[in-house]
Amino acid sequence: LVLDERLLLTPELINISINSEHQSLHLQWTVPNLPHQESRMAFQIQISRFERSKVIWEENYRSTVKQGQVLHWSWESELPLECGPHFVRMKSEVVDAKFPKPSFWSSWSPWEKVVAQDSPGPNELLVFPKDKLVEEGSSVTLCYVSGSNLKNISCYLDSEQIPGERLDASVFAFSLSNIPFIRKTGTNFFCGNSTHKEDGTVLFVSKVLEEPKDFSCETRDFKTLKCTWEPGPDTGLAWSKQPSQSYTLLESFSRRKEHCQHRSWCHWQISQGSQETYNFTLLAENRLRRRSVNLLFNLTRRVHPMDPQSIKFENVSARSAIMTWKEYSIVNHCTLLCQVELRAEGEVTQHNVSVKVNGEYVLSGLEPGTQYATQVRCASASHFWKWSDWVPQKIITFEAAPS
Amino acid sequence: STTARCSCSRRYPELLDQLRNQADLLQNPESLLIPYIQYQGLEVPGPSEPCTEHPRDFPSEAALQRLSRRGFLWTLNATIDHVLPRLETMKKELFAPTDLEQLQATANNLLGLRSNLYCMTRLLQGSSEPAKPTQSGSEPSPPPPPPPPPPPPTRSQHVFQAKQENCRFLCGYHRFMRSARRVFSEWPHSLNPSPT
Repeated sequence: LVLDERLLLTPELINISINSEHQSLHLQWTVPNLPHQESRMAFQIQISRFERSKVIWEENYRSTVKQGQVLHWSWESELPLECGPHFVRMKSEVVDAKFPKPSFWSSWSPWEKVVAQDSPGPNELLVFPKDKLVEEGSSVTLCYVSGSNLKNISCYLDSEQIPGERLDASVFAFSLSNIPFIRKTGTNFFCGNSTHKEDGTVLFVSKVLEEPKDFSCETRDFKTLKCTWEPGPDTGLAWSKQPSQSYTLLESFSRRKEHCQHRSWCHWQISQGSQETYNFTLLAENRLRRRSVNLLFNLTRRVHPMDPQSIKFENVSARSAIMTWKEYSIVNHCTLLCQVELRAEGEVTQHNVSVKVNGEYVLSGLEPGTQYATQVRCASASHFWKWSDWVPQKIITFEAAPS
Repeated sequence: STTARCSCSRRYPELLDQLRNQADLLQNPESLLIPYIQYQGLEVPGPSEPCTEHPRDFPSEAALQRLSRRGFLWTLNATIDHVLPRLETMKKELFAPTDLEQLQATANNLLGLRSNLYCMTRLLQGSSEPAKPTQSGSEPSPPPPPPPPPPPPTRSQHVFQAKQENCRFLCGYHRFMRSARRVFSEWPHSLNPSPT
């Protein structure tokens, strides 16, 4: 009876799919004759390579199984699947507390053969994986599969010959660790012998995507926020293998998103009457990795005023003048603190001016007939963030009236 | 192909010298092949070459030698017509940004060569060029242009094979220009050479 039950519970592999890029096998199976509507089961999965007897992977997998249910499981190979045939089999066991009968393993399912690449012709040499994208510092295994007529094959990484390990009669593997970034067009790996044209592949080694640094945002006009950051190295690669990393701004309160067109800055439109507090996430992405940084701030604390404009002098006399300047429409939003600097014959004096609409300051105690260099800059009065740039302007006082 | 035609020089020796100099410039592997090999990392250890020309890509020197002067000019012009678009394709991704200026100079030189080919063809049309002994009868029309070089590597082709294909193309291109230079160097010094 037990023998029959062992056969009954043998899993049935219904599909094994190959993903060459990820070097992975995806298994789908059922347990045809489940005695119960639903039971907790253990599965033992074996994978062999080149020959059924050469088991290279064994794993236990547990799942609750309903009658007729299709189960899934994936396995990633460190060796490209094209390097040789693989074989898969599995067996099952009911491990359910609800059914405490003495448990036993089912029979093994028959070996299923998986072939990702046909064998090469007698004079053919095949190198794998093709055009793999990896990150700098990672490890990768390459292989070649050679036709029966080919002997004394040498392999080179760029221009350096490297030794391999024989895995099978016509298969050699090359394990590389801590791979460096060399160039955007990839690192060439090729094999051949003196008489035979070689085959090869290109390893696309990407620089590691770095977390953006010095992420900061400010406004100069309460209409647009400009966010800036240090992007770190460009991870773009040639041959369309990986575009430069992309940057996206996400704001959690408004749930808005902005795809940035530049590697180190981005504009964000401030909508009328919108929030004062912003919670930004800057997301950096390439094909291998994602990095993000966050920034929470209040708009009024990130005001970087425009430079003062249209500096003029009115009521100029021998000893005084009224200095005026215009401020960008920012004043509707906040009061500015401006600094006026006066320079003459090496002497510098500085005065602070509070500005609500336009700037005005009375220069007094001047010397007649003297040229003064003035300059003015402004910042937010309530929460200092950054000064505008200095804007210079010269003034010459009138000569004193003859006494 | 549309080419801006400058005014043609009417002096055969001067035009021949220009053609020779242009071919000299264009045959130099420093202009295309070597920058490409360096940017793609195709240098190989030892004396061997990173790639060899594919015979089908460009007419052989022997084939060029067999042509009449007009036939040779025609073949050279047709070949340039195939090279220029291929260079344009390669320019986008396969050369270092720092090499693009050199690439543009090569394209300009090719356009200059094609312009001089046009002028020389007009000069020869006015001359009574004897047909090459190997050709039967007079030459009513120029020989059919050489078979077009292979299309650029396709996206589905693996990168290593595409790198090799481009390398072989450039290798053939420089060899073809060297052959053209040698053919020009064997041209008579005058428009209507006295029959020998």
